[in-house]
Amino acid sequence: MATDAEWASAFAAQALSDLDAREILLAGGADKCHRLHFLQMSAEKVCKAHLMTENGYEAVRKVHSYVESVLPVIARHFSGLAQGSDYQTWQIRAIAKFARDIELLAPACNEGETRPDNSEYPWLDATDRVQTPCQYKFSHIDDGDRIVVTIIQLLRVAANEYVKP
Amino acid sequence: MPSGKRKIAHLLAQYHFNAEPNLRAIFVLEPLGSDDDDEPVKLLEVVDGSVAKDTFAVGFAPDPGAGIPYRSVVVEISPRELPELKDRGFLMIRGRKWKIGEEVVRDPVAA
Repeated sequence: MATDAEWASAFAAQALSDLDAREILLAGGADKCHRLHFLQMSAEKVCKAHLMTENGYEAVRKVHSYVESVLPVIARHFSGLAQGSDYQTWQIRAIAKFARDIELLAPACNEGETRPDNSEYPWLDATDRVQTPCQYKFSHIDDGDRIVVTIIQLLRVAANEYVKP
Repeated sequence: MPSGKRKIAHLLAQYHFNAEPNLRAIFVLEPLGSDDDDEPVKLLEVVDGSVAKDTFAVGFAPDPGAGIPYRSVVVEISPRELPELKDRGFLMIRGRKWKIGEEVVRDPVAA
């Protein structure tokens, strides 16, 4: 039977692969929804890897809504270990804010159906019009923002902690 | 002056204090397992504005380069959850009972 550590390692490795895929999509001019989708999936898997070791694979595997609450804890830990050299306080704040936006990109996280916008499936907006992710602007998320670079660095560092060679 | 694993717990707590101004309080979760290298250093962190859901433990690998040679675990709660938790005296994570131990005080020059 696979151990929780093995699951955590596998989720971390897949998170790194998701980030690599995002870079390829970015270089290839893919629509914003796809860039955001791979960022969301990577963040979710990194958070799950850090939850699985202590809470168990079964308790964590089906849950989508932990990026908002767990990513700031991960940011605090790695920022602390770096003794302030890598992340400034404002970045910790910005990561927490972005973590919420990233979490809401998952179709399963819709805040009681008040936030149907997501990076994967079409949805019905408040005016009963069908919205399509590849045509939607996601104007509340600037994925060219400097903080996204910081988040991606954080995700890579945090994932590498659990990736076994 | 704490020593051994407790000293590591204090060091990690100061690292986290330095990174997060909204971190209101940190408690060491017991047992520390001073004779068991596999037992992680565990911290209960009380954060203003926390959106933590349920009570989940976030695990981290050792980082000897930063002076943390043991696995570590952080359980984050909001200040409003603290009184009830302190009254109970412990929390349960996956069948393990972790007692709320000493509070680590923020030291601006420690880490």
